[in-house]
Amino acid sequence: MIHIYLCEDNNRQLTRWKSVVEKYLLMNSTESQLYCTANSPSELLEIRKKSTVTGLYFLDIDLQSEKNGIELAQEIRKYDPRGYIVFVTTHSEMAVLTFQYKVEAMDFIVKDEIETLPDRICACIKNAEINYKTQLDSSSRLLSVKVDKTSLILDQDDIVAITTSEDYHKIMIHTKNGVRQMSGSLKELIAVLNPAFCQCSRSAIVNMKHVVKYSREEALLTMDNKETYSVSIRMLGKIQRALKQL
Amino acid sequence: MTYLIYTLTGGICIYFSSIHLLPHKMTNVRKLCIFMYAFGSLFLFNRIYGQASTYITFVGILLLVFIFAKEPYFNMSCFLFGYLYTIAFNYLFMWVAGLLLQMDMQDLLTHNRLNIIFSITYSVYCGITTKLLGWYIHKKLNIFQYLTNSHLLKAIFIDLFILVFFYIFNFSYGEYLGYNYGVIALNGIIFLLLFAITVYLMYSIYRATTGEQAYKHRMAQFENLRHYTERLEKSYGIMRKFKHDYMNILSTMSGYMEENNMDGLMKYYGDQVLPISHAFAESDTKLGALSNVKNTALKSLLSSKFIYSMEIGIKAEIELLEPIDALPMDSLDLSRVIGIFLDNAIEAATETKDKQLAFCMFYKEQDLYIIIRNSSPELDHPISELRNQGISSKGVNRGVGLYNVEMILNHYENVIWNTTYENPYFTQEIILKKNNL
Repeated sequence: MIHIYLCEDNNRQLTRWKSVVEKYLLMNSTESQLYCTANSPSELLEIRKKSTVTGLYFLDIDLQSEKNGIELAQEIRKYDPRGYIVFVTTHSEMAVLTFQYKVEAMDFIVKDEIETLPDRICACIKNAEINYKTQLDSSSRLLSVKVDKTSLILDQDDIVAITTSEDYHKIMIHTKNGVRQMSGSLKELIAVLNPAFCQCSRSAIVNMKHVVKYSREEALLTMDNKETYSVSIRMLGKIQRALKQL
Repeated sequence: MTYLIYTLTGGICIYFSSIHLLPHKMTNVRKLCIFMYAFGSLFLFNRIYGQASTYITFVGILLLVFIFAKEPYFNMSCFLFGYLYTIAFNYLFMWVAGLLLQMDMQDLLTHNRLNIIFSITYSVYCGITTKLLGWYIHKKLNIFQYLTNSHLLKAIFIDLFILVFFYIFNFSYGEYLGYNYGVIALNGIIFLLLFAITVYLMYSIYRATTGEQAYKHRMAQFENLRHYTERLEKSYGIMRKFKHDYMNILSTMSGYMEENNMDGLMKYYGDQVLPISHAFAESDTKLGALSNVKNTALKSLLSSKFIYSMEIGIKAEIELLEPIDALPMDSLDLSRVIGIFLDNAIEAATETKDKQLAFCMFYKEQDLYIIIRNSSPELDHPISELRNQGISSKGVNRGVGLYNVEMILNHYENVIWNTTYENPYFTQEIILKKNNL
């Protein structure tokens, strides 16, 4: 079940959003409910603090108040780190990357495009519901690593390998489509990883599920993201055994 | 025994002078290699050839440094400098010791215990001072960044090489003739003078190059900001025009309303009023967001890159919603990194149909996030290899950009660098953690 929150300072627009959401909830069989329609950030936060249910938030950016929509979203994140945030904004206030990275917004809707607004709102509710269901199923597989104040959440199955970095305070997490750095050590990580992970040398842990080729002569593992890792002599036996089990 | 200690301390001195002044740390194996060579060659040949054996030691280490180091001329110059420093001060110390103890050079060198004490004290002194000197030159002055001219580097190298050559020639010949107090004193003074002049020359070259670079940099910055101002003035012109039109639009609309002509009003609104609001979102007005960047160097870089990208038809988005004032990193380093990212992004974006580029900076819990995303064709290499030297999607002799970024960012412990490619977007993400120093 998801609670839907709306926040917009212009009453006319707020009523419009409200009617769209209500219509959607009426037409579809869903457990979600419209929980709060607010004119100001403080009003929304007051209600949010009392609830523990995951929320879906439709927020205006320019709220004519002490907080703008992005600051409000950051505040919401404190109480609901997994909630779904959607910004409803004008064309000129658009800042896609900032929405995505600063508050991990799920989506944004452009106010100026009046005809598509109802469809977009409904699509957002649908997406949030689907995502919420899959999250429940997969929460056991996730690797959550605390990095100072922020934590990095990755699906362990997506990780191809973890290596040390030239700067010995940091390690690198290789996924299918990128590399990310974080502070920490391989030793700390191997303890929380699932058994599919195998240390293949002093500087690398690989996920055996992502191995596509193993060359015995060169002792080289080729991964499905085109990376290669050499296996140290000490780890040869362990790696070969792990490969046989696949 | 005395001979062993004498050559051992000699080896240690040479090892210190060669290792400590090199710009990059070497692996332990290489360090050991250099030390063993220094000590071994001294131990084996000093007995046979006397001081002339120094040629063997010295040329050998020069070759080792040449093989081990990535930038051979710079590294070899560093080694030569350290070597000169060690010998010059060795002379000075011997001379002072002779003066203090009222002993002749010959006596000092043949007096076993004194000789050992002297060698050990000197190698300790040498180890400490060269370490400090290396730290000062590379960490404080960061000399390598300025000495990028390869001709200049070669000239410095040859100068130092000749100086060292004559040094060794001088004292091996001196030994052949037999030491004498006056000669040693004279040698010491002459070489100290030569050494001082070399240091002074190198220092003035350093000053001149840094000055020149700073000047060039300031000029480029000035030029960029001039372009930026021009653009802003142009967009201000558009605003003024709109201000002018504004009243006309309102009065036309009220005209429709008075006539109660709803269809006409809607048509007018759709045809005339809406397009204006879209025009504002177009390129030139976007640069205004850069006013949130408070650092001049960064602002000038960003404005020049974005003006360029807009000129070649890239759809650039600049997201700067809050003032960016505190940079937890040296602003020149940061500018270089962002410059490299933007160059890559612009180049990749031009190869795609959409030609999109988005840039944003914001603070999240006091950490500064910088994100650059561009539309990009498929990559040929795994992402983690893009950071290696020589890897590029554009053939040989390219691909130094991201390698340089890696070199710069390795100096900073508080920086996290993430790279992702999710079709069709390539994203570079940098998180600068607030320094708690």
